[in-house]
Amino acid sequence: MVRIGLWGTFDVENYGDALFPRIAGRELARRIPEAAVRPFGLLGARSPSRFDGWGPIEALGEPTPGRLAELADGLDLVVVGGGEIAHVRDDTWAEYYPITPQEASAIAPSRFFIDGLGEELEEECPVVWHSVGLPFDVEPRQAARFRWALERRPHVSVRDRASVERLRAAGIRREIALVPDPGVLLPRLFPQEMLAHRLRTLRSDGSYPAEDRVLAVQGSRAHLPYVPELASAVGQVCAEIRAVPLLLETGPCHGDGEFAAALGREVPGAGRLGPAGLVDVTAAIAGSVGFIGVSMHGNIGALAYGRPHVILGMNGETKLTGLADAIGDPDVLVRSADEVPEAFRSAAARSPRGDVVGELQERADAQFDALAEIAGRTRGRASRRPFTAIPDRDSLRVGYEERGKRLVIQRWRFADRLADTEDLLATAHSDRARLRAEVERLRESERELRSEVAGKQGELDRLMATRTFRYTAALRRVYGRLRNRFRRR
Amino acid sequence: MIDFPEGPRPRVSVLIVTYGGWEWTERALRAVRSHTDLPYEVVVVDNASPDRTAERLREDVRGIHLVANDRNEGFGPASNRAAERARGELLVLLNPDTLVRPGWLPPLVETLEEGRRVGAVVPRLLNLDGTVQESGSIVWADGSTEAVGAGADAADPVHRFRRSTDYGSAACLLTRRETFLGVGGFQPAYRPAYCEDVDLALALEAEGLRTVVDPRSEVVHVRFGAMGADAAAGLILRNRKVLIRRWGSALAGHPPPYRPDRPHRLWAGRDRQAVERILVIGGEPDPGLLRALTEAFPTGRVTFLPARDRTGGIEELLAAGIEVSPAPPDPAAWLLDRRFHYSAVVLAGDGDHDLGEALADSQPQAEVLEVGIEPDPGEVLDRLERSGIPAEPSEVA
Repeated sequence: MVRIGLWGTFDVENYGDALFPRIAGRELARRIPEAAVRPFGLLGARSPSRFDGWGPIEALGEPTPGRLAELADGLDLVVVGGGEIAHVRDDTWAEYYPITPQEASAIAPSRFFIDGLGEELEEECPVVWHSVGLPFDVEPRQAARFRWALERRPHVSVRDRASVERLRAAGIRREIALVPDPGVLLPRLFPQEMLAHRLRTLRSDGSYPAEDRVLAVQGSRAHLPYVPELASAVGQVCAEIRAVPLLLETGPCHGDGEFAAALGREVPGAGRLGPAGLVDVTAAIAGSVGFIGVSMHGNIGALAYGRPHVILGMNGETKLTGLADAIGDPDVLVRSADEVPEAFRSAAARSPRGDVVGELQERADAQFDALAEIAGRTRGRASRRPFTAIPDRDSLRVGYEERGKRLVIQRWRFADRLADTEDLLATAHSDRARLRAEVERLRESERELRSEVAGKQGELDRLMATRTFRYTAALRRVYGRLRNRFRRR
Repeated sequence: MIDFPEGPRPRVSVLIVTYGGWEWTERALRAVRSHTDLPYEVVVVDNASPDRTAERLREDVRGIHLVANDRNEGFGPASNRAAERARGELLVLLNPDTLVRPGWLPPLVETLEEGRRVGAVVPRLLNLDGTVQESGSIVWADGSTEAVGAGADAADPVHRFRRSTDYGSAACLLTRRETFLGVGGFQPAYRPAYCEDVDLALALEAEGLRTVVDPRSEVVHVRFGAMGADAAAGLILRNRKVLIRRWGSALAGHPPPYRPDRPHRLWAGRDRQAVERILVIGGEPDPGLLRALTEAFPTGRVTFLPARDRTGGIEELLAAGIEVSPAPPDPAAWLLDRRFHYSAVVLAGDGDHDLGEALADSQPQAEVLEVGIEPDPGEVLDRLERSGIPAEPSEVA
């Protein structure tokens, strides 16, 4: 048994954060069948998310010596990963979690994500960085902290060039691997066939448009100022590719709902997926004819499933520049809404990019191979410690409830759809009955008219058979000629 | 003179915000005085009543803590002010146009303290004529609300079982002082009044806390006693926009408003927070089985549909949070009303149910289990688990 802890912000209500432990867990378990993978987030069950329901996310707790020792005792390897978590601005996590800045500072995520378990405990339970990101430059007074922590790590990989440069600027000289985000392995987690099945369900309950061609669109609160221009750009793209827009929420913690509501008001006929789980969001992207959005994993998903995509980079996030770099396609990144139509046209012309996806998947696989090798080295130690991989019950409960919420929403949607369909059917039946009655009435009317015509014809025939009619034939001819002559004049 | 006892350590603080309507306020205070047994205090904030309410409170009531505002700061901020003044660990927000009934408080306190992750508890509100005004309320996706059981016969058991609810009117609401102040109290954005209670329930839910209606506690509510119905309707409409702005994303998971031709929405809305819903159909209620199901699915919904009406023996089941429906004249129509509602249907008794077609039509998603007479509850739970409906993960002790 190898007990692997995944540390990150997997409990924040965000699609990409929720994906990481699923993908990493699957890839590690594939390589090490006896692995027990336990994802940890900042709050665990205290931060329920619509993307929960797969497996429990445990709470890291506060970084006290006791808690760190407990974690080290229960794990053989810690993988820190999945997003822009390598920074020291602990209070800023309050923006994404239901906690105050003071509480966020007390939890001190940087103590886990940067400092790990500490030198002594890491001898027993190594900590590695896998595909993390640094959203900010390292402040000079924090540089030594980063150096001290990273130099002892058996493996350090980051997911964008800006993060490498920020670490180098902080004086870190050790090997740093630049790796693709593991999101490129999404199709292994959710195969196309599974998504197609899910899409049929979403279509039947009315949460996904019935039309064949759907353009998936997503943005966050930070994009509210661009709504009018984006609405126009989305309208233009939809008109060009004959698609209907569907508004997705991949990052509720970033205010995607607010953006969807605002854009929905500006784009006539736009559908909205609403609160949806991981499979639903992925199915919506994979089933679309393209994706336009700021979500890194929305874009990665579109790429991985062969859909053209445009990254909304109006706010200059380095991770998005990094993503465009990683896929070798700077043109997919736009800085203003008016660039969107051209960028989409260009992306559609190049899509699907199987060669790029294949290469990225190969590199992502190599990273998991490296992690598996490190985990393999811990096996000997692992057997000496008792197995304590029982996640806390609160995490299980939250997962259960979030999954349940989605199920119950689906149930009333089905009931609504069924009632709508029954209404349509009833209207159709009533229309059919009305039309049948109308046809019958017309037929009756036709019968009456025919009978009347037959009567008149008989009367005419009788009239023409009279002697008077025959005797006056010459007179009628003369009258006819005279009338024609006068008309010509 | 109404004389309230003054103790050093009140357990409960009853908070009342007044704005006119002295006659009702006086009656409300008298009812509290007569029917409250736990150690309590009364805090009244008068929002500069246009009548002489503040003076009358000073002259005719003894033993209350009175805060007389020199202007109407609105219901929410005044309630927050009262909560800050309160000394009890438990707060009851009580409207001045209410009449608490005997035994109103202990069930609320019991449910708050013993329930799982309960943030607030509300009683069943009754109209002056004794009919149900509200047994908890539903918040629809558009922010509009629906009082469950409005106008129904108070004896109807469907409105007499304890359960989670989207929100409960702050006409009478029990919460912990720490919880109330922890979520920031009532939001001032709803000034002068209305929708603060809906906002509070959504804020509690965001913190993982439930609002529960406990019909064992009954309070008569005059409604719009201090403000005309038209003025209230205008404020509700206005404040609904605030509600959508603050909670639009959360409300997207709520059903759209009820319509008579979409009856399933009422049940979907009422039981929105119940993940697993188990319907037990049988001749006689089997308390052992029903309790086992409730314990296995404490946040779920267990409904008993009897073959014939029961006149007694159901009070304990209702108190345990089990819905006991009256025997419907047309069970197929009853099931169709609750279309797609249940995770599982347990057919108990002698098997003479004859509901196969009705169940296939209305509950095609449900696992149907025939369990016979006096089934072993453990076995039923095992069968549910094997059907993909495992018991809820238990709480951390």
